[in-house]
Amino acid sequence: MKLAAAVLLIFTLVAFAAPAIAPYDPRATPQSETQKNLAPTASHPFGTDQFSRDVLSRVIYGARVSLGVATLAVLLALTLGAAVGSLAGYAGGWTDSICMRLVDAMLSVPRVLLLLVLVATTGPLTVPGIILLLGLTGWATTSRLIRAEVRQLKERDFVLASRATGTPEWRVFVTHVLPGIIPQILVSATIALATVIPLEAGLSFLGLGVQPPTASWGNIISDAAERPGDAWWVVLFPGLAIVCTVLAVNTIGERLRIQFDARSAARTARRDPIS
Amino acid sequence: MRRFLVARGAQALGVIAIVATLAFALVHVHVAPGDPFGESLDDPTNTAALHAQQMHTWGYDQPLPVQYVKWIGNLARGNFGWSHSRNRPVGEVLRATIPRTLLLMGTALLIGLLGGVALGTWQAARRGTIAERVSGAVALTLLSVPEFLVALAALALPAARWHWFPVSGMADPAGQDSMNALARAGDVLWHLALPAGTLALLAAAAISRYHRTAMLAVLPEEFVRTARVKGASEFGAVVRHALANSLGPLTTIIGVLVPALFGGAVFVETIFSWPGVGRMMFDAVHGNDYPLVLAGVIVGSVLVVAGSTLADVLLALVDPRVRTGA
Amino acid sequence: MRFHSVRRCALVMVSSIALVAGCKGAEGTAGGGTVIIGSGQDPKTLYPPTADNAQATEITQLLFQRLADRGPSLNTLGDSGYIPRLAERWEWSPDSLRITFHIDPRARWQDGHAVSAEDVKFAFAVYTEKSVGARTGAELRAVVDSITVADSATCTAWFHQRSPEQFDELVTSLTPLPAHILSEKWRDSLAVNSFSRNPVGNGAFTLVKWEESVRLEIAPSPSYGGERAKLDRVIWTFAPDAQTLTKQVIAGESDFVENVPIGDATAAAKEPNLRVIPLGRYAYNYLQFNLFDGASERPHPLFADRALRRALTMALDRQLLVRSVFDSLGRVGLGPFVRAQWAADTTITQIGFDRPAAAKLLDSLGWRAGAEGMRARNGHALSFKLLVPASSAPRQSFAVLIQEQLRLAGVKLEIEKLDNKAMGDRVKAHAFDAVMGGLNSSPSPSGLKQTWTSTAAREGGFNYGRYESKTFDAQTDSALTSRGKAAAKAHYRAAYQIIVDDAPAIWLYEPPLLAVANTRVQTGAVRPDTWWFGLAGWSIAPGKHLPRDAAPTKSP
Repeated sequence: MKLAAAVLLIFTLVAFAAPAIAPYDPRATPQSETQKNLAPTASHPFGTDQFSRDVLSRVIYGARVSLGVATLAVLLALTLGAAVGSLAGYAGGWTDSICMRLVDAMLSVPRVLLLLVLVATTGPLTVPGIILLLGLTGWATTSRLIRAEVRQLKERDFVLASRATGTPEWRVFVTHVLPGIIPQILVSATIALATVIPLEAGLSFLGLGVQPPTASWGNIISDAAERPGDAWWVVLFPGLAIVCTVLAVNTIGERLRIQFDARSAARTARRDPIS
Repeated sequence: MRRFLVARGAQALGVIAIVATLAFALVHVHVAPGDPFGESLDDPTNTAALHAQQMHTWGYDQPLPVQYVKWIGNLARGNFGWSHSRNRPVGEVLRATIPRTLLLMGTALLIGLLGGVALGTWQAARRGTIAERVSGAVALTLLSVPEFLVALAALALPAARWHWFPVSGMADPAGQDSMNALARAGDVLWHLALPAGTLALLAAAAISRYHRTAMLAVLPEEFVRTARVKGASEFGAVVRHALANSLGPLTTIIGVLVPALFGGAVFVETIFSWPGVGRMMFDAVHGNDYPLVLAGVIVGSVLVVAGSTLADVLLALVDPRVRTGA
Repeated sequence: MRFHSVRRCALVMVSSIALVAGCKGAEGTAGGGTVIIGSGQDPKTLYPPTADNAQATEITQLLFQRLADRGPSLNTLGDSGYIPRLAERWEWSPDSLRITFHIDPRARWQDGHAVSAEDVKFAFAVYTEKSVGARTGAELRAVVDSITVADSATCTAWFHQRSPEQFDELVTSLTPLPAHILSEKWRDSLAVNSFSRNPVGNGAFTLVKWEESVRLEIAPSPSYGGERAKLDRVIWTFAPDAQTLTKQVIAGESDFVENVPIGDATAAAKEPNLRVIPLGRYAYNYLQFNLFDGASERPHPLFADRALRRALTMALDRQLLVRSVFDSLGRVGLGPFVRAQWAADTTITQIGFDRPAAAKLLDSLGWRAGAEGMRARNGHALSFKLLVPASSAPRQSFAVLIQEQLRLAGVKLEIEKLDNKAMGDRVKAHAFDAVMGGLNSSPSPSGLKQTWTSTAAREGGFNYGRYESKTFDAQTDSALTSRGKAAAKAHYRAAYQIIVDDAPAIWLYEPPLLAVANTRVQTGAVRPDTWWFGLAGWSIAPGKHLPRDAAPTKSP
């Protein structure tokens, strides 16, 4: 847990301080003919790619893009998910039915497929475009969890009592229900993060995500996909960065779940992200 | 039970209809930059006139509502339209690709289930030991690796470097016609090993974690203790009773795993050239083949809805507590 | 390769499936052999009029013969060097407005019907019907007026006017079709589609089986009148990923891969059992400037200035760019032509790389270096956007490297990546500053007219940057109508020199097209323009037979 938090903290710092840390300009192709596809050495600890760019610097700058995209997309997805989930759960009735059918439809399409279709209709994406797409496709799971939580909270004595005394609905919601769903939102955040980081990497790997020359962990890897096997360093290091981040997020998420959600063991594993 | 089935079926159909409509809207909104005949910009023979004529032939110049009504009407009759990139009816493409994807996902799910349940059971029984914690950490790590990285590694080492398995494809292109049925099945299995193995590894990791938790929830329960008191060995108690009682939750995870496996199949099929629905989607997106893209989305959602519906039904059948209403 | 099959037997046995039958080797036994070709995608159709992607082109040309084919000299003027195919001979009318073809009496369709002159006439009707959407229909309509039949073995093509390349245009644009099968139903798209899945051709090969996105198998055609192909089977296998194709050929799963990415070719060259075969590709790529401000008639604020265009050309080390992306395998572009064309001229005076001279020229134009060395004039930065197609890896690589080289010259370049259609829309609407363009031409240099003249700058042409030069136009027209090769060449040279000096584009590279073949396949000399023409002569080297080379037997 501590280790996981430390990993995330370090990666975040690296992302923020990228210009200060990176040994080279991640886009510079100084010796495009002689210095390309170099194995790791002291001057290039992670080697160089096919354009002679320093892979370490690209991974460092890639942290900015990959983590930034993931964080913002998750924020968007959580906001949407919490809003829809709260609305459906609290209002009930028709609103609930309509929202949940929409959620059913969203969840019935594998997210990768949905993203493929969206990318097919938009063409190569800008970074804000990717954030938007990942956010817009990621809220359904969250909203379902939040809805369940809100429905439970709604029936609790203190909420019923508060409503009985004539407190306005919005006020009941803000004072009694909202605080109750925050743990669920935190747990959802870790699930969403652990899903979005590999997704962004996967899309970029397929050439459909962040577009070069901007570096993201996914497209650093896809830059190397043209070199069969012999430029392993271009795949391994960004790959490790992805795995470490997601593992750290998963570890923290698991701890949070145990802490906040000890009641229902069965629900825990159901949310294991593997896609 | 029948009533439950009918209601569940109707709900499933409703969801698929919503998906189909939303997908159509998405694909045909005319911000879409791609059109199915705009491929080759560098080719002087691809003239504007030829292009306009192709668009007309295939009805892409009609108003959207007209296109939609035609499309959904055909869809209801089981006609998915015409794939331009493959020059054949979409239905034909689906008939070829769906079984391949089902084979891939089914194999992965089966191996994943066997491996995951075995590991999860063992972990639950050995709770607290170092081996259990290490294996748990390994499973969590595996869950943190994107499918495409696993697939890339499997392609780079066992296939391309060590030549243990074929690099790609579904069957030996030269030998398959002269093989007997058994040999042909073996050949397909041999090609299936890496792509299915990649997905199975991730499925097993997810299932083991889930199953371990479910087992721990059941283990302390009264009847397991009763079984132990009755003299059954601890192993027997764990396996027979606890396992049987956690099968219910297990069906739930299968429903949840289907979309994840399908998503993974897009990457795995593309990387290993497994000619299934995932690779079809990837090609269709690149070729701006709208009817094929739409068909892919619908197939995906049917698969997912079928998975979760089946899981619900199984849950009702399998879990003794659900059955007795406890 | 022996290890391969042995290990496979072992593995299969470990998995306890009795598969001995599948591994039953026939190593070294007789049989013409099987060649497996790794390919990126299926042919879209095997119907010659609409065959468009590379796979469709090569496979239809193996299944169907044309009247004649270009010879290895790649001449496109007159008819010298052309190889007779369906037509065993032909003669010209004195005024060159008619050519009469005599069909080879041995030529048979694969259903046994003799190939007749009617098939040529019928094909012409199909190709020139607009609703068919034949790729070469427009060209045929422009050149040939009609085809008449004298008897079943003789037909005559009537041309609108004589031109130096009229023979080439006819024979490369028209593939005779079986009238006895299609004449009743060629307007029925379902029937045509079914024909395109199970074509009846007249070539050296016949289609055996096509499992979409898995494999396509052809075998020597028993009805072919010429020499039987040496191989028993040729099988295309399909994988969308270029990297996978290379891994297959390295692993021995396939024997031949066409169009290998450059990095993969370098890796393949290290394998002792593989060799890299450079193929010719009649494509050249360039960075094209828009000389006008968008679609308007106002001159472009930067690129209307010829001196600025020349300065930017000077600022690029094209040799280094090409070596960086293609190693030693690519070639620097010399102008709007490729070296393999007969009119190519490598002595055109180029605008060479000279960074100081470029800087000086930019200074003299008023573009002064400011903060971080970036240039500006009257408060306007020297900056422009470059459109790059997302589908082309080499063009993206070039764009990244050009961005860096221009930065060193104080020029800011923004890369805008678009998918093909979006890019097509932008370019055709002239809504761009500069674009990474490319053209697929042919052994004939005559495409210049449709690509760089002022005619091509108007609606429908490919001169998207709207470069116009009267002297260039005049030289191009003279080149196209010259009868003699020497005269035509002189005019082409003059035209090339004018356009290179005017620099409406930076001529970047001729992309290499590389194939990789297993050394067990004896290919003989591979024609760089059409490698598949020699396929019937390919064979398996003695002692290098694999189990898959055994004569094919059908299981019950």
